[in-house]
Amino acid sequence: MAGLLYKDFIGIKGKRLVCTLLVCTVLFLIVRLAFPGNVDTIMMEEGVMWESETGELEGMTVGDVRDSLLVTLPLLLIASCLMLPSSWTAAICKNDEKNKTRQFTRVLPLGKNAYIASKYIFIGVAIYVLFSLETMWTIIFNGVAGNNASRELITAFSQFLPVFCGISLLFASVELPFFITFGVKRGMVIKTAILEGAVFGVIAYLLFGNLKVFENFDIYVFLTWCKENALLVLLVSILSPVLDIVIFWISYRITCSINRNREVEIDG
Amino acid sequence: MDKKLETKRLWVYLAFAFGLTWIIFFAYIFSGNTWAANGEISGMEQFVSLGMLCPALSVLLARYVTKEGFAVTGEGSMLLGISFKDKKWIYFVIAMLLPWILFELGNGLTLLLSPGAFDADYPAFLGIADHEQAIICMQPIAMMITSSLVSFCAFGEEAGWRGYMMPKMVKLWGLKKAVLIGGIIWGIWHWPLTCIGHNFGRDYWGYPFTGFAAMCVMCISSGMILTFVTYKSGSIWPAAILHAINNSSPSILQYYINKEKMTGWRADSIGSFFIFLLPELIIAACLYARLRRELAAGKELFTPGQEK
Repeated sequence: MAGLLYKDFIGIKGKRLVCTLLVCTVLFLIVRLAFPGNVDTIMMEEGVMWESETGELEGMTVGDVRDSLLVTLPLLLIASCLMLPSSWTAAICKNDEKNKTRQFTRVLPLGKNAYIASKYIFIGVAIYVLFSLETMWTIIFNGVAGNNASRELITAFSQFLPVFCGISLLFASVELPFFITFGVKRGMVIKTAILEGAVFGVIAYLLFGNLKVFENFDIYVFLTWCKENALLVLLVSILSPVLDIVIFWISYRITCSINRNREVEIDG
Repeated sequence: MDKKLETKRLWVYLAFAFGLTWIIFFAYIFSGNTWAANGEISGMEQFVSLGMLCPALSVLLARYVTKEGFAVTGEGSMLLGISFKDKKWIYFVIAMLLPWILFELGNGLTLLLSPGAFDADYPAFLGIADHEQAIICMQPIAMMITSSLVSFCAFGEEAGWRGYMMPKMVKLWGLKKAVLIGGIIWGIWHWPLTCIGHNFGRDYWGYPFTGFAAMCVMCISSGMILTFVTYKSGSIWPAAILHAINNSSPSILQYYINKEKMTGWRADSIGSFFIFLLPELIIAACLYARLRRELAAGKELFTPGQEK
């Protein structure tokens, strides 16, 4: 199993990726320590984000601008980490198809479902590592953030990190059965069809749905909502990863059952 | 086993683990920071907690310097493999539930010895509104799930202490000495933070020396439990999960203990800490006795079976 996982790690150019992520983390740490956040500047609670009644920016210091720029880095990482596992799912399956790895694993002394399990374990581990990295970046950002709006924003987002992590798992739960069963080419067609369906759904909602719920929606509204609905936020952050892990496991069982006749029992 | 080489590897690891972490701790201390006494962890304190990753980094450095290799599973490995076969999943369940049980037992004992400390209105004092009281009931489960997910800091420590130091010490000195010396070393590693108020604050009898001793006692007892789950599961992951959940204080009762209402020696943070620690000490001793029995029966420690 360790060999199969290592093969997938090499398949996504893991060494280069790990080095890149480590260098980015160290650079972010240095930048953050060099430019700590403004202490006791404007808080979100005060209800103003440097904007006057006429809509012009007021009282914004160089420190505030710097903070606003730096706050985008952990958010960018979170967004990237949401997409990365999906690209790796395709990459590891494509790599196996190219090298005929699946046929090769049939002659190895591995369990019946070892090949399928290795794919699920690899993506699971990758999501855990990315999730840890995201948490690390939010800790680095908040460490020297001071009491200001950017810190509140990152703190609020960090509450939803388990949800984001769960979304990645959910994507993998849908993608892996198709990629493993039908191959990457056909799997990608099915994935595109599902995504297009989702996009059409969003467009339909934008055309015919109730958009009043988004009226006056901004970050301040989001943070206030988080504070007012602490219980709901807690519930979502607990239940979402549990639910996603259960779906991930069901997806694994389904994939094993669909591919039952394609695998060979060796050691039971 | 080459005892000289193993001893050398152990010392190299300890030098890295102490050196790297204490650079962070002392940088934090000498910039004038102290640990918040109210138990709330600030952003800067979380930042310093990233020092928990240093033991894992030290393992990699020690393995590289002493040419030990980076085996993931099997004998002499970093014990990173996970197996649920042979009922090993039980140790993951134990790792998730035991901290909660220990915290409730500890807090229950505290209330038993200081009944006056029970304060039904304490959640309101802590800023938890009436309609949010459900949060208190959900806190242990929330901590179990989120801490298991965000266990990378605890993993950092466990990869070093249980994944590298303990197997070497057990091989060199046997279980008894390993648990005692390993616990003391792990306790000493925490001392710079104990000095600035981590865990016990700074307002206690015999500060900071009683705090140093209490930290070592806690590390010995926790070390026994963590060594037990690591040995039984053949992996450091249950220990990492247990450690992470333990650090997040999963307990309902803690929200109803008003320490300001405690009197006498029980009001002292070290005194109340030892009351709280008593259930953990008893359970740790039982698990240690079981490990000793297995060792006497001829089973080898820290030699996980090859992955299936």
